Amino acid sequence: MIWLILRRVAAAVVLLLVITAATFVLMSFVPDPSQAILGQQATQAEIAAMSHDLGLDRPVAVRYLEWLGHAIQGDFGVSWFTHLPVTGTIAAKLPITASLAVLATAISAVLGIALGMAAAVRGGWLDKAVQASAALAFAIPGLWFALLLVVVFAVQLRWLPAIGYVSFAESPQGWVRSLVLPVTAIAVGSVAAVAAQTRSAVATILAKDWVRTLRSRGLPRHRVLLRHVLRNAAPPALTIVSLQFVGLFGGAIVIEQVFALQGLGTAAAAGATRSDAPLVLGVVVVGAVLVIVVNLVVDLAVSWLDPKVRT
Amino acid sequence: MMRTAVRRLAVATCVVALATACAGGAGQTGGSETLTMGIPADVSNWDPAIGAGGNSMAYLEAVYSSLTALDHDFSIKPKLATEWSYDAAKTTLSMTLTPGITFSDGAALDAAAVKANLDRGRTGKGPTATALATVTDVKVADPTHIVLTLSKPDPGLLYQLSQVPGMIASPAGFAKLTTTPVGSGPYLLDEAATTRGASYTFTRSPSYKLPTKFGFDKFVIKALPDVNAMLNATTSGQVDLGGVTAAAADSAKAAGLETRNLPGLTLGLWMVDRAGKLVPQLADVRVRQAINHGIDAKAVLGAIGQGHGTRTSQVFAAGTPAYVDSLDSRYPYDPAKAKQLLADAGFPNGFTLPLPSENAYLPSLYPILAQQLAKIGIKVEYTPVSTNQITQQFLTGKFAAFMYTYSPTQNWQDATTILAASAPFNPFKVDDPTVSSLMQRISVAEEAEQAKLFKELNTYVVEQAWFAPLYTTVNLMAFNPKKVNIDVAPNQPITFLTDYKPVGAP
Repeated sequence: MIWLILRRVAAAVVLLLVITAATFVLMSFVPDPSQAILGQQATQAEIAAMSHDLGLDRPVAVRYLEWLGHAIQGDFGVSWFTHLPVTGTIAAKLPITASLAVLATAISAVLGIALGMAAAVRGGWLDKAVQASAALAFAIPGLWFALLLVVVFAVQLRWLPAIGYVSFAESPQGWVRSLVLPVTAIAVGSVAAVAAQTRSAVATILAKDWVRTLRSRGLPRHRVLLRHVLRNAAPPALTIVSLQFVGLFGGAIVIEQVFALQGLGTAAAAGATRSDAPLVLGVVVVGAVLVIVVNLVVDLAVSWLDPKVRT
Repeated sequence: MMRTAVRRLAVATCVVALATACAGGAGQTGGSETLTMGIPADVSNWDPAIGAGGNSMAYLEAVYSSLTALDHDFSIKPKLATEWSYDAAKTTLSMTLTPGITFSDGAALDAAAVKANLDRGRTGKGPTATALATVTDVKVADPTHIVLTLSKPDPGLLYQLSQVPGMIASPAGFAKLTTTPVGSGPYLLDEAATTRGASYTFTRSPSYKLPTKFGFDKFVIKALPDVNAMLNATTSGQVDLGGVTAAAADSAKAAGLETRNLPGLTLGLWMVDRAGKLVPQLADVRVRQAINHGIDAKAVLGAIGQGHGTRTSQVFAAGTPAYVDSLDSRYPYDPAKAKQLLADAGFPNGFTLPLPSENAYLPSLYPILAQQLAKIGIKVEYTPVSTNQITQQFLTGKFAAFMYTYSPTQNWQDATTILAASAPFNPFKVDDPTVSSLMQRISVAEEAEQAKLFKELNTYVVEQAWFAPLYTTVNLMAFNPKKVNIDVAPNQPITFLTDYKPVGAP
């Protein structure tokens, strides 16, 4: 297990270097933001001076190594537009995106696995209903569903806020209220994915001979299902949950904008639109680290559940 | 077991639903004297010396006072400066400051503080330094008098001093100004009730002493860059006031909101290669006039703007001194006349006009434009340009002409930005003697004379067909009439915090 973790951490470091270098190179192709920073009245000389101040007239490799030197110490520089430290900006925004992604993932895992198991175990109309709902949930565009939720629950019924985020520290109830709609909007597709995957895995395992053997030995039904069937069906479900988390993190860009949640997605969109390289790089690093950590945790969980993959 | 789990989950879901349903309407925003407004951008930073305009103004206007103030027709009113005068050469501006003003930190807002701010702004890097570029020296005459020396006459300076460059911050707070504003404005930023990037709360400042009254005791600004979020926040009552797209007018009305129209951006074809360096045909005024006659602006307004806009032939803002109403009928859609003008110019068979196109902002505009110009014999060849590179590509002289949306402001500001020989939006640096001479005369003229000369300048530019403006879009301000009252004049291009009054207030 230790070797697995060490191997994965070493690979993660290399991966981070590749991702940041690639982002840096890509950002060097986007338009020079000097004009946008200075305003439309700026002269060409002022624009050239600003470009020089930002270091855009120096080689990409030199700028990257400089950035890397600071980033290793936790300093991601200062946003070219807001003049605020990127580290502080990300620290303020991370809890919002994390709340969104973690809650959506937890809900899709719990609901998806529960629905998938129920469908596989009970079969009949429940199985058909779960399969049909999953297909429908897959087909619904997330943005459209988000807008529909807002129109019904915020604009018409006024049960929930249409926009904004309330931190848990400020008001736990407000935190739940501010997240119900965005989490529902992004979780619906994931619930469907996890349910479909779980249903298929559980149905396959239920048909195995050893399940029949366990039952014939008189083990209680719930013990067979939860201890044996679910444990064997869990690895593919967990893998799909981790993939959904990564997807949700990306989907947050759209959902955060619709619900005016000032999370990493909004920051990434604003940074990319304005060519604010320090902000984009900061978000990319945090996003990459999150994805790497989640994948590592899922791999460890799968290897704990299934000894065959521990080699 | 499974059934129990499902039942528990169902109960938990109901508890969450009840908690949310019982927690009161989302529209609750506090006391009756609180105004919650949606602004389509976050404040870029709180330091006036760096500078920021547009959507940051509402934030900065709350916490800072500027030297002068802008009226709705872009005329200049006193604010921190009670009066001012230029010398005969218009290169020395003497200003008298309101006595007894203090910053929120208790320090005096005197001539020394103003000098510290202006010196810091003009020597910095950013829009403020560009705006104060003509100021070469700032002298303190006495605590309430300050003298600005200019490198040349600058009729735009008093306007700039009404904007972010003229906002005065406490010198003691300079070091932390990017994040923590310290000014003499009507409100204080309530840090405890503020979530940076999302929601900013302002409460009345006890140190505010200027005569301009602000109606609300407290107001909250929510940064809502996404148009859907803005519409949802407005129609659900989470904000009392917000700008929505013209197409959303019906949704706003259905939600019980009132709306006000404000002029937005002017869309048009900019023929910047007036010397004919890239496209020789554009050097002929008859060709440019033919293009004006050849584009069916009303059809474009219907197809692209869904009818939400006003036809215009001018780049200056309606309601400002330069605007001449009768000029809007100068170029009616008339393909026959356009063809005749092209023939007179020696191009009876038309010519090829290379233009840039983009596919994110107004993608459907380009085929319509090409089709209309083809009818008068001009064959458009598009070069795709990334939408976020438009301004940069256009200002470096890569294209002889381009479609552009411009937000007109104060007349001198516009003239120096788009018409002057050195203007950033004159990429080929075409020096027109008539325009240069008129601008020279405007720069030293008195106010009444200036208005006349601005009209002359605008008429000349329209007659010379430097642009083919099509229409000005409409910005719709939707608001809760039970909470706030807003009066806007026709053509009023901007609103200020003072325009928002509590219902029932005088």
